[in-house]
Amino acid sequence: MIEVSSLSKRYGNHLAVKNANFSIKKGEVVGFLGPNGAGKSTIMNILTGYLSLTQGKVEIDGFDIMTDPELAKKRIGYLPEIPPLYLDMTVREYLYFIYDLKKVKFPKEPHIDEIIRLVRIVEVEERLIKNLSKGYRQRVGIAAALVGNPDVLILDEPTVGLDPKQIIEIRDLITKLGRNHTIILSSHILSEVQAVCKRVIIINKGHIIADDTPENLSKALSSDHSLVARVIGKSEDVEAAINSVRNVYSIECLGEFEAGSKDYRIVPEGNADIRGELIKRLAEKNKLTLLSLTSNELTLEQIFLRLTGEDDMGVYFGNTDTAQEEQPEEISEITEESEEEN
Amino acid sequence: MIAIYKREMKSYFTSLITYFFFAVFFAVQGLLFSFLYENGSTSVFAIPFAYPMYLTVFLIPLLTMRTISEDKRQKVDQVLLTAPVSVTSVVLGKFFACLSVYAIAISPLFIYQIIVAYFSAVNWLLFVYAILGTMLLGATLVACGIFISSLTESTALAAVLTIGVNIVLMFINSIISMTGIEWLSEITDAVALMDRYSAFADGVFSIPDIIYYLSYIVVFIFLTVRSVEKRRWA
Repeated sequence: MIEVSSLSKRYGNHLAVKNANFSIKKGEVVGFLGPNGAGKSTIMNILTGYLSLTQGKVEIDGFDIMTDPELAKKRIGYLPEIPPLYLDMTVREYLYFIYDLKKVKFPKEPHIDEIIRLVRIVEVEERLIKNLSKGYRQRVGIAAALVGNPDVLILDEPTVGLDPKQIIEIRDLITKLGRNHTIILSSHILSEVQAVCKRVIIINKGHIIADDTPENLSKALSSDHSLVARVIGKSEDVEAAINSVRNVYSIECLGEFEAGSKDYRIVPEGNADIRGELIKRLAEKNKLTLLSLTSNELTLEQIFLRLTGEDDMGVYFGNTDTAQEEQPEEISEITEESEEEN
Repeated sequence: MIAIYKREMKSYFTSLITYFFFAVFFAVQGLLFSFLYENGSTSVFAIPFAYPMYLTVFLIPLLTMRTISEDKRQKVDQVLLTAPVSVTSVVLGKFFACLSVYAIAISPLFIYQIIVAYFSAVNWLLFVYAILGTMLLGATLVACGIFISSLTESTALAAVLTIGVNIVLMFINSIISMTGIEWLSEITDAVALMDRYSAFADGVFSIPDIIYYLSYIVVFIFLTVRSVEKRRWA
């Protein structure tokens, strides 16, 4: 559905996007993740034809965004970072305007009615956008993106500035839309990406530094497979029970964190999954009660910090070839620029 | 284009500035007409056309100042430029909306002409030609204003700049002719918009005059499209 090959974007001397490659299949829900200024919005603006590209190629459903802009744009619904709304129009007027602008073929009123119901803005449809709160404006922006029922939805930070209840509503909406749309959304809220996206593209300083499912990213980066169990019972009994589990490498008592129980760090051998057997063994002894069992696998937060932090970059880059290609280029880029400045 | 035209028109008629624009226009035309009528002037026909044109220099920028700069400031241009429409049709939609408002502002001229026709014979062909000239001059200033609006994000700056450029475009030859530099005033005579307009008001039919204004309009619209597109490449 979306094909991006060796995409670069240069603002004067500043290289905002450097040689980005990815392809998104129909029906995928992909999250763009990156710190502020990483180039997420720039890539989205290029995909939607708002900005031109310096180098490379972007195809939407087979139509090149530079040579067939109108056909490509027809397939995209875009919610920019700041929803582009005419403040002097009512919600319904604005959606009618978008309908006309996009030259949509569906019957006008039922189509707009359906969208208004879907994003839950029925109660404000006759109000001026000027008088709406941030949350409602955001929803009107999403409604505008949905007009014409485009195949691809590109949402730039769709939940920014919303209250927690609204965030959950918008996430539910995105999940619902994901069933019959291809969606790209960007965020710096990682739990959000984890909640809605099956694939994550992490962008930092204009580079794509990772592109995988959240689970795989977590596995690839995590060298620590240890578990922490909170158990009620005598230490000797607990340790004996845990030691009887196969593939346990070591046990360490961490002390008391909850009255009457103790925490134990259990390190398995290699990548072995010992959880099932561990729970069974603890349950067999009737004086031991397992209160909780948590794994130390990385959360997306930790992956993100690891990938974007300078120190640990090598850990991940060590086994990917794209990174090895790109890094020296980046260095030459910087020297080139400093030469220009001199 | 039609979607944008409709939206712009709606927006004009919810804005106070538009009504101010109409009020000033109608008042000046009415005063001029009644004054000339009272005095039994022979140039009843031409003068109501000529004088309001001095006003347009200051009034049209009020209409054009927001056209593109405001969109840019509010980031609404993102919705226009990512929609499946060309930049040219966006600019033309805005241009025609602005021109329509201007057309409404000069529409009382018809009423005055009907009043005149009640008392004496009126050459309607000449009248329509004068209206054409008024529209062409207005359209030139509108196109120029939209272009300047596309250069900045500040509506106030757009208005001030447009007034400045309008004054230069309209009257540069009168200023330069005072210096007495021959070759310079020859150039400025060609540039200045007001001279050609007088021919329309006097009923002197000339195709070059029409083409003259049309070429101004086309150039300004072309420059606007380029200036909007330029930002995509920046």
